[in-house]
Amino acid sequence: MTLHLINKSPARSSALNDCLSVLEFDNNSASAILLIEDAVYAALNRSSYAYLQEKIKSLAIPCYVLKEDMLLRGLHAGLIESFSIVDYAGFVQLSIDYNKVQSWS
Amino acid sequence: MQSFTLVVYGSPDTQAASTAYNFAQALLKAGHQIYRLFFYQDGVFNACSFNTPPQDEENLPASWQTLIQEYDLDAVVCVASALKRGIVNDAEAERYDLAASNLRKGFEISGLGQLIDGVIQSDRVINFLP
Repeated sequence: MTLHLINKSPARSSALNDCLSVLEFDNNSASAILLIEDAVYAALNRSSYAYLQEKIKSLAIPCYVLKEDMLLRGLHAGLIESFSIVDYAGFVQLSIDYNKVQSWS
Repeated sequence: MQSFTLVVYGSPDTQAASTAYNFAQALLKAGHQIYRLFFYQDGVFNACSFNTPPQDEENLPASWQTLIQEYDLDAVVCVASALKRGIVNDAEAERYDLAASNLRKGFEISGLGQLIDGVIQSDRVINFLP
């Protein structure tokens, strides 16, 4: 039950991809991913990150996007529908719902 | 109610520091507790009292100080990270014969043992990486 915290855009970091590789290997569907800061770009629909979104879909794990960071970047729409939007209060709750929080950078 | 240790690795001009600050506010607002704030590596710049940003820019170290004093939080700055970057309290300034000290009120300088203690004592540890 780990919440994986990703804070970099896939354009400049392999953090999300690395995290997904570990999760694939681990075969652990009890985990979740939260995209914060520049990582919110990974949730853009019709982006070149479709391969990452497919990986998340095939792992069948929840993926969340931090609302404040999304709005800061002007991403009001066009996010992948299967990703859920949470605010800071939701971020705090997720960190409690999962018993560990793993940060990737 | 859960207790948290937040580890801040980024200087005030990284989003990591802002995210940590926003998270700290949100968790306190939700009625949870901060066992310790631990400022590590470039995160020690959040404890500097000499920073004077332009008036129309946020002064994150000042915001941290307000939060720390309002909630009486335990805010620890890693001593090795701090000395290397020129963040010193009165005792260290005297020990190294420096012209002044610049550790902000509310913060204290201590060692990595305080991080280990935070990991052991808190329900959750969250790392905010730059």
